[in-house]
Amino acid sequence: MSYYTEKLEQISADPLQKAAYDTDDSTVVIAGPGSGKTTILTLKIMKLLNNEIKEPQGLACLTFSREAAREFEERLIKLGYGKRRNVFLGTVHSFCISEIIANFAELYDYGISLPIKVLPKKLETQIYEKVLKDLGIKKFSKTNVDKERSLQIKGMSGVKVNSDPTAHRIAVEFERRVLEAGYIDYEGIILISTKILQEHEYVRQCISAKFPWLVIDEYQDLGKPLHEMVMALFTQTDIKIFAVGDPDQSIYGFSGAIPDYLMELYNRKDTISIELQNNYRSNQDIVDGSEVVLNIPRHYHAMTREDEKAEYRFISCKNGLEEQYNFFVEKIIPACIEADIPLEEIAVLLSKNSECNELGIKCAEEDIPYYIAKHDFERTDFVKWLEECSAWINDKSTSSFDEIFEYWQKLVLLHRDEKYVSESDVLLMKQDLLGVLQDSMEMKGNLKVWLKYIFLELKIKDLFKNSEMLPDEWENLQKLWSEVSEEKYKDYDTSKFSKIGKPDNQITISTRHSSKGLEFEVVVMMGMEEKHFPGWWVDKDPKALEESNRICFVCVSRAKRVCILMYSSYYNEMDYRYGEICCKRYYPSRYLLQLRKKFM
Amino acid sequence: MKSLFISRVVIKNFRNFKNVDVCLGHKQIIIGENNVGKTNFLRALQLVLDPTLSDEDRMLQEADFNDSIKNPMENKEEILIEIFIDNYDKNKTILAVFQDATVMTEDGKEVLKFTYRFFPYINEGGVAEYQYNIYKGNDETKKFGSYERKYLNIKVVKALRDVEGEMRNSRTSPIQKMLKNYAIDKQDLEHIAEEYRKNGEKILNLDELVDLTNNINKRFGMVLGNNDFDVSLRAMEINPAKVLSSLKLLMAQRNTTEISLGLNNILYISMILQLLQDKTIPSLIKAEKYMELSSIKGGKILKDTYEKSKNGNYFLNDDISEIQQDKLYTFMSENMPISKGVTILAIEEPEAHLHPVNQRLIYRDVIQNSSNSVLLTTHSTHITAIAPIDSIVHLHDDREGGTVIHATATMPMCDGEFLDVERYLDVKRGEIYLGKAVILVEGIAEEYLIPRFADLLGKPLDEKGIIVCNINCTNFTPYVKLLRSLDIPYAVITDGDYYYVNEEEERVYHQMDNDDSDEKSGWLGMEIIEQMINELGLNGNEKMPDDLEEKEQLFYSLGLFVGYYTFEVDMMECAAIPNNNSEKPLEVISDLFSELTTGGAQQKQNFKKELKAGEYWKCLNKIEGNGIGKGRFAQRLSGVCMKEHIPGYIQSAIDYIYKKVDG
Repeated sequence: MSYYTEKLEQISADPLQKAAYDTDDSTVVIAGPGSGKTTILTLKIMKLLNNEIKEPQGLACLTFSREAAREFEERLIKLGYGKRRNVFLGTVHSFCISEIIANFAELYDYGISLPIKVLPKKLETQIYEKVLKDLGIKKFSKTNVDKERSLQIKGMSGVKVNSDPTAHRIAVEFERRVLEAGYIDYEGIILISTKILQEHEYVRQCISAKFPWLVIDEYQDLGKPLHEMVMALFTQTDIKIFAVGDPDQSIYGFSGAIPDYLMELYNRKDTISIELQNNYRSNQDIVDGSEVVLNIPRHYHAMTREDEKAEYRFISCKNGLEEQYNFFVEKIIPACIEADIPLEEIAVLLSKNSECNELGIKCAEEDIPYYIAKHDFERTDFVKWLEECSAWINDKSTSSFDEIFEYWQKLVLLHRDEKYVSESDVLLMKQDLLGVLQDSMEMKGNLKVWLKYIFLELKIKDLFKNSEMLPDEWENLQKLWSEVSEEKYKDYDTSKFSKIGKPDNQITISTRHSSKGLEFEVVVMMGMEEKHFPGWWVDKDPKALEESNRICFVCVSRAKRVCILMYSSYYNEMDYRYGEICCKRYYPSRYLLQLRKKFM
Repeated sequence: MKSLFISRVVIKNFRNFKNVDVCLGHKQIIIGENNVGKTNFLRALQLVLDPTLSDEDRMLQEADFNDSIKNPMENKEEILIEIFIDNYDKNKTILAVFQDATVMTEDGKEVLKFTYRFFPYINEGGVAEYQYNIYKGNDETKKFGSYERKYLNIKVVKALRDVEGEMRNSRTSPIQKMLKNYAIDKQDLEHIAEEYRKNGEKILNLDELVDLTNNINKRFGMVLGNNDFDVSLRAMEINPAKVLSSLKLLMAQRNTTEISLGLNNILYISMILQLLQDKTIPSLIKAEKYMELSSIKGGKILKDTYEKSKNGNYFLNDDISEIQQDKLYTFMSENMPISKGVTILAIEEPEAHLHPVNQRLIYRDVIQNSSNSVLLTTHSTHITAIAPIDSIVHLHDDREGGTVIHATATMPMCDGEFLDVERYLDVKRGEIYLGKAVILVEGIAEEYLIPRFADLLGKPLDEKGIIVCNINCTNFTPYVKLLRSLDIPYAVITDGDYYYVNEEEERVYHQMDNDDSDEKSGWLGMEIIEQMINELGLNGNEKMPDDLEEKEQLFYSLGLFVGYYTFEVDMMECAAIPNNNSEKPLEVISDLFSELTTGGAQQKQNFKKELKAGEYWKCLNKIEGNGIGKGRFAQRLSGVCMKEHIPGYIQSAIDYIYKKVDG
């Protein structure tokens, strides 16, 4: 049985999944944790491409992260997808660049200089700080300003949003200065693309002709600009939408993403609404527990792990996170090893990156292999390409040199003034790249040496150092370089390149926010004190409380079977009134209490 | 629904074209003399759009540079061809494939742009070599190649086409291509092939054939010395795959090879147009598909628009209303979309081998009504005469070795302004586009006599391709506008129509000027021309001079020549000017009158007398009134006229137009 039919049979067994797969009109699917959304999305894409959409038309599949896009692509290839023109698979951001800015920005005047120059991070900080200074504002989070900018987008959505006047002032001035400097920043690319799409019938017609279907994953995380783009296309062209999301997993409120946009689309009369009910990840206790902390009954059913009981444990410590760390390395880990739970099935969820790093140090001291999800370097397209190259020199059947070259050629041309290259020169370029890659095979036994060789031979530094399109790439590569230079990677050969920055018989340490999309046998949640989680600020802000509940929902639902919650009764904290460190009393989080009440 | 079309073409340095920039419409008639570059114009389009050209064809040579450029390759000159496409925004296939070719026109409209560029390229080794690049929009990295040509292309039907050959060849025959567009059931074909074979075998049962086979076998066996090899006959080799290609086209029950070349040409062009037609609404739906479509929302429309065939499939009705058609189109493009590309058709000289009636037919019924964009080159006045004014593309020599192109597609036109002209362009007047220069006249007498006058002046018009166009009225304005927009040199000759104003303040015409300077008088002809000058702004921003002589000077410089009275009167007055063979010119006129008139001797005598006395209006009255008529008189006069008959303004007009053509 092929992978495709196997998966198809799998979803056919679930009437709701099947219904989502079968619709031939615009559909919004609410997919709770473990409901099999990736399978449905990828099968739906296959169905559309094979049966519904004729060439040269294609479809666009938008994801929240590059990683998700990559996962989709791998899954699609497994399902038998062959590369096809006019099929877009990537983030909203890259969609805006390659499908809107590249094709249409030149036609309409939005004051941006073309070809676009992406604002380098350093310059962004400079401009931002200068704006604050000139406006006489001491400190203001850039995230809030970006959120304000995304909310300023006008459009059709009836969802009410509040504006922050200070953020607004900063936003206007910041945008003006970035444009004036001849740049465009990350947020700006999305905002201008949205405007182009909203304001020009022609652009909408083009997009809907090329992509008669728009498939969108994690709709709840994508925020207002994407929602307005979707609304503009959906109501003014005959484009069809297949959107998947989960309002309960909307936890990026700080970026302006709220569940209301997904619900607005879901509740439209002209979309088919489907709510998946089954969970294929966790046992029923975990499912029920996650709904308890969410505070909204969803009545999801656990389909696997029948008759299995969840293990909820509540650990109380005396003072600070330090004790929780200690308990974890001294008690929990040995117990897991005892119970034959592999390390990669264990995750610790914390509130901040700094805490993750503290726990990391602790684990290192105790020789516990760990992996911190938040990484220094980004898996950009170029890093992905390097991985592709390393895969190719190890096994020529896994990747295609033509595709490797295609990206390389595009990259080189992007950084040249003369865009035309004759066929014979293209051939020379190809020979050069082939030569470098083949010669590099001698070094394939050592990733670091290999990377150094590639960087040197392909003059990567020259390429990126003054790049206007990819201004931050060289810095990113330096981060990659220092990562690879770390002690633990010294024995890595090139075949393990793609494993850099991925868990490999390691426990996972992650912030609560970054845990989305992951799953583990055992989930350990630390810092479960009231006022810490949920934070002290939710008392006055019911919306914030709701989001906090959703974060906890996400955390609990990462677990398949075991959920361990830890809290401490005291924390040594800086008291700003007295300017000294005081010992402060804390009480167990309401989430902990709710779960304890239900399961003890 | 009109398909997309080429809305603008820019050509630089390619063959005849140094630098042309022309706007086009959906249907275009390309006219111009031989060797002026009509085929090269199409070739420029083909370099970008024709899928049958090879890479080698697209790689130009030094010889492809415009002749006016000295050592083009040494001087690193470039050849540039830009094609703009408009009216594609309803075509999803085109939008999907070509949206990255969008550019903005000056007046803010989105169009597609494709560029062919032939240029010196410095390669990695630092050596300059000529290369070509075809790309979308303004981005040289967005290649326009064979994939793109699948969705947008041009088909050129050559002037020297071997229609018979193409139709016979199963690879090139349009009928075979059309057959391929149907998905004919393989089993059906196999079944039919089997039937063929069975029936064919019956022939073998004829005794004559049995006898023949026996005889061959006997003789063969004798020569060979044994009967090891059995010789037999087979009736027909039937391969199901070849059943279709064995189909032959018959016209009036005759094989097309026996039909006249002309009819074959019409058939061929009709089939090509049918082949390229938008088939969103299928003319045949198979039973199974019909069922499927009927059950879809909105599928009820099929019931009213299709009819069941004997075999259970469904044919499109012929008489469906426009509303139904629109509905059906929307329904089909939603539920059974075809993602075919668009072909622009270019036909060189469709008139080849055709009777004039058929020339008009093929243009009016076949080409004009096609939803596809069609470009055609022609020398046929039968076609130019019926083509809409705004569909003309005119190529002519720029007198410096290059060719310039003008098109009427974007000529500013008031509603109905050209109705007169269009209605008026008959076969003879269709020539207006084909001349190197045009003399516009208001009547038939001028039409007959002016070419003869030109001969007498040693400036024959035919030799220079100058055409006399009689517009039968004095509304010259639209004609001048048309000729100016095509940049065809022209001269206007019109009567002065002298008048004076009597006591009752009325204008009195048809009187000789008696030089009474107290009388208020004027020339209607001058007034008409002045009005035209103002209307078309021929005089730029200059003020119209008040002085009569200055005014006339201005008119002459603009190619506008006004007589004094009327053509015949001016001619008679001119003939009366004393000169060497003083009496002869007038005698010629009076002799001709005597010969033609139905009147008696007295009348002939009177005519002669009046002519001598300078009573030309009376003479003209007699010409018009005695069964002669101006036309006949002029026609006959053209055989005997002399230099002395040529009025000054007409001679000036001939000199003027001659100078224009010679440059």
